[in-house]
Amino acid sequence: MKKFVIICTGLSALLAGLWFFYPRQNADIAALTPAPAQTDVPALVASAAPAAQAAAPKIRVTEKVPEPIAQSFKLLASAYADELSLPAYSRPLSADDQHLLQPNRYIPQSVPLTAGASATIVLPKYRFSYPEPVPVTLEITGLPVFDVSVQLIAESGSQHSDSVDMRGTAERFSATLKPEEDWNGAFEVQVSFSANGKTQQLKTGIAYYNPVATIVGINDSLGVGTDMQIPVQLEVKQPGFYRLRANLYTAAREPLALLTATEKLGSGKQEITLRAYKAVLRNNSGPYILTSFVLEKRPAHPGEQTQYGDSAQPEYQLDYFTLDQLSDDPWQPDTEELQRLQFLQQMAEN
Amino acid sequence: MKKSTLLLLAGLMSFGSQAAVGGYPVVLVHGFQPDNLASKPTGSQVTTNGSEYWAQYWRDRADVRIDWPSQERIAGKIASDYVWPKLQQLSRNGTCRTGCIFVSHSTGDLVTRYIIDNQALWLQNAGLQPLNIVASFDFAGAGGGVELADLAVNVAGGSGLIDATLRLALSLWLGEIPTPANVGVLNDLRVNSARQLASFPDARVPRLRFAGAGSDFLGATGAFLPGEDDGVVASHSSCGASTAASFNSCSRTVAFDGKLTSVSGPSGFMPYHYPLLMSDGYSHSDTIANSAKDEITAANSGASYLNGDRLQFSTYDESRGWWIFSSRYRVVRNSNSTSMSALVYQAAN
Repeated sequence: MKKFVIICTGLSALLAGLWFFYPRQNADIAALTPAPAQTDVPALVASAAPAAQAAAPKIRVTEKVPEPIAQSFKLLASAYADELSLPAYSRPLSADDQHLLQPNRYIPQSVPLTAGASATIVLPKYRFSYPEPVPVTLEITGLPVFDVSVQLIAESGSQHSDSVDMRGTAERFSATLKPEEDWNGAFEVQVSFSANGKTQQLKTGIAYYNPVATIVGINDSLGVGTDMQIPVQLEVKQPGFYRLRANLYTAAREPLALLTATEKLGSGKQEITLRAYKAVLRNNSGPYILTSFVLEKRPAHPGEQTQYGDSAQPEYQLDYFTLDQLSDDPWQPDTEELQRLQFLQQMAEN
Repeated sequence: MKKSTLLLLAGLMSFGSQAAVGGYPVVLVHGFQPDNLASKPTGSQVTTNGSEYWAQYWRDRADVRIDWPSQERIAGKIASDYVWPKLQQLSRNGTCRTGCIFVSHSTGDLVTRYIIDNQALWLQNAGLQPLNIVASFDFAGAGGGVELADLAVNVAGGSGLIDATLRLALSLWLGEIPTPANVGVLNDLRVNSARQLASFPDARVPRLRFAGAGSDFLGATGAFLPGEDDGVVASHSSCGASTAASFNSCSRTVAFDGKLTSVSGPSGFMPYHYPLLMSDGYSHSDTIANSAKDEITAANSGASYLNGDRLQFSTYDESRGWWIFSSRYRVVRNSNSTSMSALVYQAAN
């Protein structure tokens, strides 16, 4: 790698100057240096050093390492090339892929209130399926509140639940809301409470769906070419363009791969096939766990909302699978993907 | 008259030759415009606003703009009334037939993700050729959500017990506090809603991230955003991190100011999201402006660069009796005199 190092502070000149002008037993000279960031003595070094060293003056030197922007594109192109070495339908998973491992995670957002108090609506997940109830918790710190209640209201304004009192401790109030069968789409969770003679309403968004399709079973896996194929059985209520995502784990719950399949499905009993590319199985021959299902009925045209399906079981166990039956053929990206890589490589050469 | 016509033609030809990144046509998707919530623009006013939004740098370097009003919702009218006509136009004109680059700012990142996820299906269903999107350049991207939007939606519902400094910060950002009836795209920008919207498109379009850590509001909004932020968007969002957490950089080995040091950064990113450049001095709006605000650093650290190269070192000079502390800063060449947008554009052309 081409690297040019410029000593911006002129280290040698600075040291020479200090040699002549700096009083040995004087105070810290760090302030004379132009370093933009302050660096403290590392605790371990300071504690291990003799007292004289710990009290010694400090010189801070800043070095700037100019780098051509092309270098960043080179690294990016390399990272993207790695992505293309595996098929998009079978993406390897690691423990760092939090939002893929927990695709329905709700992230609580705290709201600052008067006098340093705060309130947070906490939910177990973002998207619910009928007939699941919706458990809601309000966490309050620094403010005694009362008359705490919660209501679910459709963003469209067409549907809402009854208002339900929330009960609990002074800092944690809870209630569970029962859904109606026709709830479908984006909803607001509205929590109201009173304090200091004032009423406050807090909101957060969730999705509540009456499932348009349900995963009802998994057939035995098949070996086809480079892939372990997993036939997923569905009962479809609304025909349309479906996308199924599921996470494949080892029996010890180590994440292996996020599997994706998209199909146009009719209504009734249908099948959609997930494929696990041999390399993402990492020599694990099962048994496997298939879970974290996200079944979407995609908008066929702009303005249509995504609908969701569910699974009869939260997870399915897949049997042992003989990996030897799969080929080791390398994956070939499609022409558009290669064009994207070429563009990044071109940027790296400019 | 003839001379002026020739000059106009020359100008148009010059515009045409500039409107490309790496030889590909450029499509702009702007971000949230707070004043839309009250003014509720439609028709030509949306187009005028979009033109002004990009005026400083990108407008004259682009072929097509997708303009949309902020009082609407992304999967609703923004998609059907504003995005869809432009997607059809792009397809019919063949603008993206051999590839095009999307350049987004702020909420435009989320709109672009929704486009990437759906455009092929919509266009195929309409009997049209899907777009070939080669890459997107996302400046101050809000695709991971904006905590200020969560807070704004809450304050819109009544601010009886809301912290006064929060109300002030929201006023600085929005101009005026919205009502529950006109929060519009702020609903989509809430952290949970944003991260659930088209969270993982099938198409492997590389999303190149450009992030700042300055502020347009003297830091007043930063108190309500986790980790480093650009005054509107927290770094988890602008970097494209896989989790909405408090991060002080897009990298774990380089700070926003370029200092090579151990810093809290994301351990993972949303699929095909790649932080590329970041700078301590660029605010949310600075990232698409045309003036250099600060030196810029490369957000993606190459392992080869760091291996065997101590990020920071200290030595005790026994003969002189002083400590020497050295800090290293990685800076992108020419970034002290070139804006972030210009650096990217020049790198591609």
